[in-house]
Amino acid sequence: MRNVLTLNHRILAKIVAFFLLVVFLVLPVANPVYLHILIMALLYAYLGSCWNILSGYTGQFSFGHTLFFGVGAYVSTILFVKLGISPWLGMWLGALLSMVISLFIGFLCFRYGLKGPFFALATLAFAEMFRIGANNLDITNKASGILIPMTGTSITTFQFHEKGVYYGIIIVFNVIIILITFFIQRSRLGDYFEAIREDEEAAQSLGIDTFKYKLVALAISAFLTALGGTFYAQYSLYLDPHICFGVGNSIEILIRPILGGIGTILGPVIGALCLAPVSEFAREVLRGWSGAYLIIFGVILVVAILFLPDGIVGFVKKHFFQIKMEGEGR
Amino acid sequence: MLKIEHIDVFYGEIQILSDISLQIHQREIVTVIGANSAGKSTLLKSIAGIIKPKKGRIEFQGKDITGANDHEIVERGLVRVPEGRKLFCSMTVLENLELGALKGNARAKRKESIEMVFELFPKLKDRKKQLAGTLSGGEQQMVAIGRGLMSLPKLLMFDEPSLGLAPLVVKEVFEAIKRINESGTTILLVEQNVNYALTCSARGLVLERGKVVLEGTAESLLDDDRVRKAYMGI
Repeated sequence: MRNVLTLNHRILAKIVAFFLLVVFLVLPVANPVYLHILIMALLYAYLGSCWNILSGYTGQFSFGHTLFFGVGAYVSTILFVKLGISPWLGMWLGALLSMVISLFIGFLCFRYGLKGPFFALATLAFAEMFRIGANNLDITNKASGILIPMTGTSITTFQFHEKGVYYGIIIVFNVIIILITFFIQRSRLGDYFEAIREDEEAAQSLGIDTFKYKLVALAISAFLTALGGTFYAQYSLYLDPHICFGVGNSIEILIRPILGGIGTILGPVIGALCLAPVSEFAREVLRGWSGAYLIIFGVILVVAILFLPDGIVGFVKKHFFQIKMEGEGR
Repeated sequence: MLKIEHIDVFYGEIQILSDISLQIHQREIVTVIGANSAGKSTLLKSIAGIIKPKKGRIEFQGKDITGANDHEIVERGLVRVPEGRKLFCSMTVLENLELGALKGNARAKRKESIEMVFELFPKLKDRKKQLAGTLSGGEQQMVAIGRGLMSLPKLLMFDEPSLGLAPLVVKEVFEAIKRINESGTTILLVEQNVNYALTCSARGLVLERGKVVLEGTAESLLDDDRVRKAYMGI
């Protein structure tokens, strides 16, 4: 019995490896459209992983995560366009500002004990405030947004004619976030986060400073999310308040980890890779109805929450590795 | 060891506790009894620093802890086992216990503490790799008590440990509490199961609508007509 199973697992592993090889290496070389889709998928895998640290591991569900994405994108872009500061530097400043903003929001929310849906609504409200602000301020060029002038391929300006370079950068981003998540999960910090997620009152009774660690999770998440914002700005070379601070993008950020499995290391990446073809297909079919693909996202979200409460990762673990897991228990 | 002097506690505008005073000596078991909404859990939460009293003073081992943060109070060795067990259900028994020993000395002695908990509750040893959410109510209460012990408390507070448990299991839980006390931990118990709680305590208090209405040795309370009528149905 066991032998047959391990054999099956080996075949399965080979199929998965082959599949990944095709997806990551063959397709992008074969067709630049696939390259673009893959870059966006990996960007949202990265953003989803950032969200996952706060919402997946610590259980504080953010519905306005695009706020931190937008702050990162706008800060590095404004510094670059107006002052000529390299986005490589600007992205760290954006991340710092995003972290400061997140600490302010977190302080208000957690000090007054906002939990669950109330925290989610508060984050949504703050993102909306920034959207309205960006729509009306001169520094963000109001609703028309900011077009980043293309000055030719250069490392210092974070601009490349070759999409392949962006592909390489976003892969590095993903490797880093996976490592960060891995180390958080293994560390004492991860224990605190998960205890807070599982039962805040119990965590409190064990002497965990829940207020502090919720802020820590939020700050880490906001900082890293902002870096993704800069990447997006430099890749698309255009920003507007709707893209950066709109509700749609908040949903884009959280749907992948939910689909893949929240509170897991690889969930956001797996969710992103599974969603990419669906989302591209939906956009293609619903072409002409701008934003209608979000309806498809909504349906996927509902189905995922109903039928895959632990995401794809949870499902696979439960159904394919069940024997192994039970074996460990005895 | 623990000295509470005239505390008033409010939730917003509503007064929950008024003028409560209480003293617990080293190695004692003291029980607070009272009906629902008498303020028993609020009393424990105030001692644990989760709610700050508006008036009065709480002293632990000679030091003022009124208004101290909840996690500082735990570090001082004053630990609460919350009502309704509050386990980390999707973690294993072992992981739950490990999370009880977070800092300093308790963390260093984690391995020995786990052995001690398994000695106290041998059942848990067989189930250490099982998810806490899949245990029976009694076993879950044992994990909750064990998790509280992991931080090597000097004073352990229990909020209704018998809640929702079968009579036989209740007996087991109280026996465990007695053994914990015998090994040197002071205990403050909040209970509705008056008979069991008072039988294993030295002293007791009766709380009604946020006020102490009766106080005395456990025997005197068990013999008191009002207590027998109101809480034991005799």
